[in-house]
Amino acid sequence: MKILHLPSGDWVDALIENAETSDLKRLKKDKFEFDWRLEEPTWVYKLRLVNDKEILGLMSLDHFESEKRMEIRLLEVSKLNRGEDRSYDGIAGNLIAFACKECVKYHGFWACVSLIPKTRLKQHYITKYGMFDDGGKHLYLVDRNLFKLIEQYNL
Amino acid sequence: MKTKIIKKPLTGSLEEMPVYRHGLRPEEKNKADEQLMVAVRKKRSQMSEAQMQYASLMQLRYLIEDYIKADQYDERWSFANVLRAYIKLKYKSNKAFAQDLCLDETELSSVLNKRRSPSDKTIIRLELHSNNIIPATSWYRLVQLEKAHFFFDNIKNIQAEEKNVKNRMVSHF
Repeated sequence: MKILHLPSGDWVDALIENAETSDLKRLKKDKFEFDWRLEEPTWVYKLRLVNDKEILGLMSLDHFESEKRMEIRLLEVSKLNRGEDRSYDGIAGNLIAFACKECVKYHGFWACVSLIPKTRLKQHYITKYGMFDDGGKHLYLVDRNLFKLIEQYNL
Repeated sequence: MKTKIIKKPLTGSLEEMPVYRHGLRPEEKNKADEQLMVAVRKKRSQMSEAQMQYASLMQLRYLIEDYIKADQYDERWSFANVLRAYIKLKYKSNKAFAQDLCLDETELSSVLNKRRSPSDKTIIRLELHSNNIIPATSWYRLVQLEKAHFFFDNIKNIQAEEKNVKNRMVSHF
C-alpha cells in the first residue's frame, strides 16, 4: 500500500500490522490524543512507513461475527498528519480499506464495515469513502462500495 | 451541582479526522446496531449472483495471499484443496469446469486427487478464468510451497543421495 507525501508529491510504501501492547504504551500525547491502552490489542492495527517504525495511524475494530460485520471503534491519524498542513495523505483511507479487506476475509460477500461518526463528519465519510447512511447513528460499507474502496487504496 | 460538559467543536479541514468512541449508552448502542442491520440486510438482499461470486473470489484471493505470505505449508491450502474451493464458487460439477478450461477431465481429477501436479497451461488458464483476480503466480506458489514441504519433509531422500555427491564446493572450517 502507498500513502502520499504531500510536500514532495511522492507516493511512499506503507504497511498496516497488528499493534503490540508495547506500541500502545509508548504513544505520546503530543502525537495521539486518545488513550489507546484502553483498546483490546488483538484488534488494534497501526499504519507506518515500510522504512520507519513511527506510527502514523491507529485503528481498533470490533468484530460482530453473527452480523458478519466489523465496526471501526476508534481511528486516529497522528496529529501532524491531520488537516490542511498534514505531511501524508491517505492514512485514514488506507486504514478503513484495510478494515474492509479483513472483513471480506472473514465474511466474503456478507462483509460489512461500519462506524459511528461525529455528525459533522458524516457527509465527509459519505463523499470520500462511499459510505451509506443507515438513517440513524451508523455509516456503513457493503458490497460494491466496500470493494471499490479496497481497490481504490490498492490493497 | 452538575458540571456542564462543553464539547470542543471540530474545526478546520476534515481530512484525516478521527473516528471517536461512540459514547452511547448500551441500550442506545443496541438500538443503533439494530437500525444498522435493517439497512444492511436490505442492501445485502439486493446483491446479484455475479456480485456474490466476485466477492467470494476476492475472499479466496486475500486468503491465498495471506497463506503465501506466511510461507508455511498447510494441508488446507494445498493446490488441490484451493482448486476445489475455486471450482465450488461457480460450478456444480468438475466436468463443467474442465470443459470451460478445455482441460481433460481425467487430468483435472488427478490434480484434485493429488496424483499429479498441475501443468503450466492449467495454471495460466486458471489465471485467465479468474479474470486475473487470482494470478498465475499465486497458483504457482501454492504448488511450490507444497513441493518444498514434501521435499524437505522426506529426509530419506537427502540421506539416500549422500553417497552420490563427492568433492563438495566448500568444506567445514
